[in-house]
Amino acid sequence: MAVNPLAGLGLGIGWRPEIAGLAADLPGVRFTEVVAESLRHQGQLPPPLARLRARGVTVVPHGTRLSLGGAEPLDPHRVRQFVSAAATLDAPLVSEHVAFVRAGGLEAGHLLPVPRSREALRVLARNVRTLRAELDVPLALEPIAALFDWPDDEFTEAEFLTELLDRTGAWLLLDVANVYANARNRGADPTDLLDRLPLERVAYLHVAGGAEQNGLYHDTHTAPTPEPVLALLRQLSARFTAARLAPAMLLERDGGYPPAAQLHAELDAVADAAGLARITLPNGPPEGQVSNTTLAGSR
Amino acid sequence: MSTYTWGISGPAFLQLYLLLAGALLVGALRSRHRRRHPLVPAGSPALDAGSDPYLIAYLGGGPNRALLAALGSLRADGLVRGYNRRCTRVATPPSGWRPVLERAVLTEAVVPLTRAELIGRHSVGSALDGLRDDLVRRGLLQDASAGRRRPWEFAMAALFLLGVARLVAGLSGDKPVGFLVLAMLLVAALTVLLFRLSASARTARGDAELAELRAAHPHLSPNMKPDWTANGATAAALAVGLFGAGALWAADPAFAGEMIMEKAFSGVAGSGGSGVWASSGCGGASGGGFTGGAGCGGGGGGGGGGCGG
Repeated sequence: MAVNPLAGLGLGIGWRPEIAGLAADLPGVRFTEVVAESLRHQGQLPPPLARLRARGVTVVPHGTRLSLGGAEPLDPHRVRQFVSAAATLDAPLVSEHVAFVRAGGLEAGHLLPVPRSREALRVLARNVRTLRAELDVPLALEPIAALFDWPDDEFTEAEFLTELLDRTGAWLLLDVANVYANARNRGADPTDLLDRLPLERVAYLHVAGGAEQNGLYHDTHTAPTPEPVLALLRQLSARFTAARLAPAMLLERDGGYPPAAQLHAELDAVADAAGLARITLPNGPPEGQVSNTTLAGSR
Repeated sequence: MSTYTWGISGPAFLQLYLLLAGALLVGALRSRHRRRHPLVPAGSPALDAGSDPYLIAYLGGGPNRALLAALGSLRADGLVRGYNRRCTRVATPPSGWRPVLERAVLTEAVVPLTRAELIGRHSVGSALDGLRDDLVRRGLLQDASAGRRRPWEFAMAALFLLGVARLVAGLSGDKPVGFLVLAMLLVAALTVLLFRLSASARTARGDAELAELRAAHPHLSPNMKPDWTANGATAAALAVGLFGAGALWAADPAFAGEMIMEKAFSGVAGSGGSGVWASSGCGGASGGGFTGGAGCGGGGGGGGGGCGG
């Protein structure tokens, strides 16, 4: 039995150097996430991030390049760097994607979806086990936004993810914007997936804004969170409250940064939709607002 | 008729020469100490990062740095553009208070002007002088009228020249000059040292306040590539003020490229450097360091377009 290490931490914003000053100025922030590969191996943290840590802000390293869905074994150097980031940050949890980023010696430069097949599950489970053997903290896995599906999928997305979590004991990092993007681009109802996912395994959520291009919605993280994503968040929040779950929530912004006032307004809108305390004000969400969830098999 | 050069024996001259060097060294150090530790009126307020970005910029790198900070801030607000090393006002600022230096630049930059031309304009020049005088009053900058002409340092240089004259005379009289050369090397080293020590215009308190401000604003370091839309125009001014031209290059390379010719010098005064004011006005922080991580959302970033590029 394990407790979600991020339960009750409320809303955070993805730490990016370009907006480090804004993150530092959020009086109620108690949680953030940093791209693991952006940290130096066994090096010092960037000073603004070190300050947040000194303030007691929880920082989760978020991997983007381990390629857990890749057929090749994990790169030991990248695994060491990822583990080192977790140790440097004293992180209670780390996260990576259900995706692959390289194959046959080629770097895709993007997160690519894995086929929802038994073979892919086996590979993913193997890689996750390899990674977890090196980690001292739990791992959360994030399904990605994909513009295409592989032919002959053997599982639905919910079945695939549930099976993956069952096999690996990992937590789920649920990106609400990805759920919205995938559903919208396939003409599906995003709540269908939410109905089928094991929400009690959600460690934290991502939310972000994107843009439509050529009829497809891209989760670019460079625009304000759109209303449909906030609406989905409201639905999810109701489900979490009913289940007495309190996963943390994180706004991702990777570019097209707006003035601070606009970013604050967006953070407030996300907090309101998620039923969390606003972090633009002092005294963020109280500890233990909702009882922590447990998850068998996690570390 | 004495056989000694200038009628003084070698040992006697050397004794006198070194004695003079010692006296000048003591005088220069005492003078420097007085300049570095002026009497400050009681209750002089510390610089405020939010309201005094140009005082901080002037303290960090003199008038050139202060002007560059103002240009960075006005650029962040979309009020100026750079083209062919000249800055031009391209928009009317919204009503509301603006620092004197920004107002002066906006007034003058209705026609394209280089940074040097801007500094030469009366209104910009007086705004910069006002910053300097304020810093002197606060005891952060050395008083230009109190020994900043560096008489002791020039006297040491003159002593070296005296040695040169003695050397020439000695050589022409076929006299031994080995010890004189050694003494001259010592005086030359002292001259360089004293000029270097006196290069900083700041007082000890000014150095301390600047160091504190830099430590308090690590997110504005060029290594962080702070986004100026998100951080705001005041933060842009503060970033250039604290970390020099490197901050402008990191945040808005197109504008920096148009306004600053001397990119090679942009790493002159590192973020923790001596703060010697380069004539180019370029400070800049040391390169390398933290680089932003690859975002995992994909999609192109936004960011302001270039300015006149």
